Amino acid sequence: MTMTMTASGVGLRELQVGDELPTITRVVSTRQLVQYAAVSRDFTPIHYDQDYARSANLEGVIIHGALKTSLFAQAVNEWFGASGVLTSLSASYRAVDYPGEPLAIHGKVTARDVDASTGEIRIEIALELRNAAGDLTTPGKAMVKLHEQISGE
Amino acid sequence: MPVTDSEDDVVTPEMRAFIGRSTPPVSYKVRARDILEFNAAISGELPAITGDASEAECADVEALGTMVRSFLSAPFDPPFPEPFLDILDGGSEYEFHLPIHAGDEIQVVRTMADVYAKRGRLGPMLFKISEVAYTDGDGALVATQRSTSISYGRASAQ
Repeated sequence: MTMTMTASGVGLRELQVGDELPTITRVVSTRQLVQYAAVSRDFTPIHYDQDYARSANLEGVIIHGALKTSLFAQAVNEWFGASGVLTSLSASYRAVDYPGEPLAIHGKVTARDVDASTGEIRIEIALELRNAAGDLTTPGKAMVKLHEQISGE
Repeated sequence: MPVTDSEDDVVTPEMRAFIGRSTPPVSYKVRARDILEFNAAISGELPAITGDASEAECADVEALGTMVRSFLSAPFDPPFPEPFLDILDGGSEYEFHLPIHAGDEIQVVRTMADVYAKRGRLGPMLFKISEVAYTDGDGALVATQRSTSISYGRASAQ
């Protein structure tokens, strides 16, 4: 089941295990790699030097793994907006991704619980970043706490 | 800690001695422009040029939690005896406890949690697991990051 949500977070309270969040597609540019290198101070040459990257048996410069993790964080923000807060996030870089290629970010609810004492809703999301071929390059996991509390659930 | 055939060839007693060792604390003052430029790098937009006035105007802008990665730890002293030149990022696990806003102070300390080796298709690979604690000016924990750095290939100049 794919949930339909708005920026105001309509439908978030009803999210259940197995629900899929709307897929977000992003294309990272080489300019963005330069921007990310500057803000993260990660100047590893495989992220900006095409010749160096090819000498390392890559097709060209690759996207920083940590940038992909931030794409996950941004996706969670887009899905939940001000209705939720990201409390944990993980990502594992199994394969490289290249700039200029559409990357699909998928999210699926894998757990949902309500704190009996506070009524807080916590939602666990399995994250996937897939390349244009559909290969899973970066699995991840996020935990989101919803601001809206539920009483009597 | 995983044990492989190559472990004793790669992981020296000097490297193992780093497990549990921490970097000296280093502090950063979070600027609005830092947040705007980080957000722009993630969204792929060019950062807005707003001049110094943005510091006051953006006081309520909240940073993505993963921005803590931009606040680098100080190097280990003495430095870790890195044997390889090529480095891969294996992944990260974050826990976020407090939001980050312009004007906040962030202190960073990295602790080496584990060092081990494996043999992969690229040959011997050294895995360094580190835990980074980010605290605010009051000493409250803002976020933690557990990251895996993998080095391999050509010999380091060290």
